[in-house]
Amino acid sequence: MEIVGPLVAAILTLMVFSYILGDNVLFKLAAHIFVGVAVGYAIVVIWYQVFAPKFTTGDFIGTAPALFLCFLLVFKIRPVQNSLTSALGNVSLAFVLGVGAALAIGGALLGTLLPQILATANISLNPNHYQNTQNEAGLVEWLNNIIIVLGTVGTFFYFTFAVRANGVLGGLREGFVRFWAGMGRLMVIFTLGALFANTVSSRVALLVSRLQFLAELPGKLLGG
Amino acid sequence: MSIRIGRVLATVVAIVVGLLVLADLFVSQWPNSFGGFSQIINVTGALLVSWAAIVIAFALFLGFANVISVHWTRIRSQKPGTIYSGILLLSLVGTLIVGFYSGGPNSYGSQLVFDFVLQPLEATFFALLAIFIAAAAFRAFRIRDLETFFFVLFAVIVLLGQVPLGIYLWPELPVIKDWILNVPTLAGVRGILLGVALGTIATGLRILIGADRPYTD
Repeated sequence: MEIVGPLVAAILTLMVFSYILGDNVLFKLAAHIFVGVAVGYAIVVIWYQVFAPKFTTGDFIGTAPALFLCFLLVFKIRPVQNSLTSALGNVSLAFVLGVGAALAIGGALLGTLLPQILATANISLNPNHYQNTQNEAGLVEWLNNIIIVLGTVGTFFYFTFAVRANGVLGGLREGFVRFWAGMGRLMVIFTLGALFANTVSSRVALLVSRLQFLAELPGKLLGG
Repeated sequence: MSIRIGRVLATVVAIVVGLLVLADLFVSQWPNSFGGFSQIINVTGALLVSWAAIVIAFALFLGFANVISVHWTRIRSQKPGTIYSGILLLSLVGTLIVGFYSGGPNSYGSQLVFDFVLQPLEATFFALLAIFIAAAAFRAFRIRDLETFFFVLFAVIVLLGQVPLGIYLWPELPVIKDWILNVPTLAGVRGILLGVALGTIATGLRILIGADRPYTD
């Protein structure tokens, strides 16, 4: 297996790389093998990680409602619009979406919104709160924090989608939002540029690792 | 009439189950604020989440059955691409046999499939994207205005700041790269995250109050 395994991996790698020359049979074969193996592996993982532990504990009564919901889900395989069976299948979907929505709200609120707001709110814009603002390091930290706060608020305002308000107050609000959104737009551009570069560099790192694997393979095979 | 009852039942299930799981999340966060109810809500919430995990896993099984059905139909009707469907089913069945025969995803057989088939294929597909992203970027990012200029400038600085060539060209480049990632990018990502979180909460709440019912026909 020390020889066959890497050889199979190398052949599959070359099959995928053949796409550089254009769409071809080898690439399509590799893509279909990938889908087949990924689905098969996912099923094995699901069985051993989700179903097997539930069934081996013998807690059938505790699991029975879930199995009943699974049974209802079968009705959604070939759903007939506005039929009783489809309506029963909807109950199962509603259960999953209800739990999913609650978990999403909890995750967004406790995992993202509150920590991010706290992190921004804890930044002080008062230069007296920084040690040694007379020297360069303290001044830079203070200025960086100002950019972070203004940038965060600006980016947030950039995603403001509201009906245009009329009147003097409406015009004032419009001008206020536009000012912040303009700064936010610039911040979003900076961010997307940096994120794009990070995405490219991670993909290039993968490309280098695959090419390195191919380059080192003959030595490994011949050297044993 | 029965269909209408089914719709109402689905909405009630989504709302009740969602509120119970949400209550469990808050009780877990502040356990001493709900007195004797804490344990009941915790147990109910955990049970509901475990049931949802089983139903989602079963939904994936249905997806697996659908993949087999689609490709088996294609093979039987001799449509174009029969050979690819055959290869897909063969690799799928092969992985299943290896997985179940060898005793699960952590067994030696499954590890071989993962290390020598799944992982190399996945890594190479993502690696292939590097070439196409670079080619697309070269074509798309023509500097037409100040905004595109800043986008390209920041991307180039972050890219070059991560490789030895950048340090060779200008030793200060990694420092500027770190500043870009730690200050303006942090601000931008934080603003975007706040927007995403608020959007998620709004969408979730619409499901929990029954304003959105994506589960009905």
